[in-house]
Parts: sequence; structure tokens; C-alpha cells
Amino acid sequence: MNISKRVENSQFNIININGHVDATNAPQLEKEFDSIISDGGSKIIVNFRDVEYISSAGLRVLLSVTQRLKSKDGDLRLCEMNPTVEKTFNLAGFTRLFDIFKSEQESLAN
Amino acid sequence: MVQEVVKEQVKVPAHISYLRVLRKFVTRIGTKYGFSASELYAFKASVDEACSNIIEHGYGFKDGSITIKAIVGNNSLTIELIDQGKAFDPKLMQDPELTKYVDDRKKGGLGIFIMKRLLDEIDYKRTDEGNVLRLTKFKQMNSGPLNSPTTFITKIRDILSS
Repeated sequence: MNISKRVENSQFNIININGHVDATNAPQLEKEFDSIISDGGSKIIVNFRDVEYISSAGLRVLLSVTQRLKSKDGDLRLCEMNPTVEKTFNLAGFTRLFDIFKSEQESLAN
Repeated sequence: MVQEVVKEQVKVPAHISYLRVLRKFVTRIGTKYGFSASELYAFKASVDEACSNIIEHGYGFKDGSITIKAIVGNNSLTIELIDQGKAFDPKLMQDPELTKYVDDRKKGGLGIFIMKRLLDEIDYKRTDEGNVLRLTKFKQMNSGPLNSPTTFITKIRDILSS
């Protein structure tokens, strides 16, 4: 898994994840979120374009971040999921837990 | 008659660094036998979740091994996982209430919930070999959760095509 970060419109922290997210690297992903939140970031967008796979370990991190940001009047948005990952989110019922957008542009606009 | 043949098996140390190896194993087998991208994802995710549980809860992160077998049926693929850790039947685990999952500060149960949603059948038994967990998915039209009407239809098709 590779992670890159950038800031858009002076307020949105965008995280791009590349590869597989599982129990071996979910702690690394959590640290990236910790670093943004401790720097005062409260609006985070995760671009899923290059996410091939995410396990429950990664999902737990996302759920936890969603909750933490809510308490800071912020939010977590997910975007650009590939069809397979999106279908799995649908089947498992995760789509009602996250704000999911088709494109990064849409996630920035809303 | 429905035929099942063990096509391949491997044994790996029960360590999270081997999750990638196990996912690659099921992806390779699933691709070889014509499963779709979403079916492959279901196998990858289910094997990952099941093995993570075996490593963490079955062996308590101590030394152990996991044997993975691919059993190919007429219209199905079953992945069998064998370990010698603590006995645990995932089917007995209650589904988490997703909307309250984080509020309740829960840490477990999400992986098994995902397995149940993505697979068509989960069977568990404790044998002389250890814990034997069988994860089955039928080809096509099988996007429904465990024990869905779709599963029933694919089972009937499986029998008729044999």
C-alpha cells in the first residue's frame, strides 16, 4: 500500500491510497489520519481510485475516523471506488455508513 | 451428482505477513476456473478475514500454521482452511449493528459479517485435523447474502448440470 496526501481548496485533505489495505498496513493508514487530525484537519477525502482491496481492518480505521471527525464538525468522504470495491460496499451495507462520491470533483463540491 | 475435487493446497505460517500470499492463491485459482472479478474479490476478502481471525483469535498471534485447499465443484469453488488453533465457529458470531459499530467501541465481528455477506455457504467443524472452515461461492447470479433464494437457485442448477 502506498499513500499520498495533498490539500485542496485550503480545507480538504485528500488521501490517495494505492494497492491493498489489510491487517498488515491498516495501522500505517491510521497514522496518516492521526497526523491530519492532529494538525487540525477535519475534512478528509479518501480517493479510492487505486484501491484494489480493503479488508475489515481498513474499514475499521475508516469508521473510527468518521466518528472522530463528526465530533469536530468535520467529515470523511470516499470517492472514485472501482466497481468491484463499490459492489462489495453495497453488498455489505457499508454504503450507508460513508459518504461516497463518484468523482473527487463531486466530493469537493458538496 | 455434484463432484468436488481438491485441485491445490498450500500450508503457510499463521502470520499476517502471509495474508497477501493467501489472497494471491485464491485469486489465481478463481481466475483459472472462470470466476468473475466480484467473485474473486469475495474469495479474497473472505479468506483474508477468516485467516486474520485464525491468526489473532485462534492462535493468539503465537506460532501455528494454516492449510488452504481449493475444492472445485461443477459450478462452485470452496476454499477450505484448516488450523490447529482454538475452536471457533464463525456462524455463531452475532452480526454487528453497523450504524452503532463505532459508538459501541466494538473491535470484532466486522470481518465475519463481511464473509457472511459475500459468500454463499460457510461450514465449520472441529475434526482430528483441527478446525476446518469451508467457504463456498457458486458461479453467477450469486451476489446475494448467505442462504438467499439466489443461492438456492444456483444449487439446483449445480445439481441439474451434473
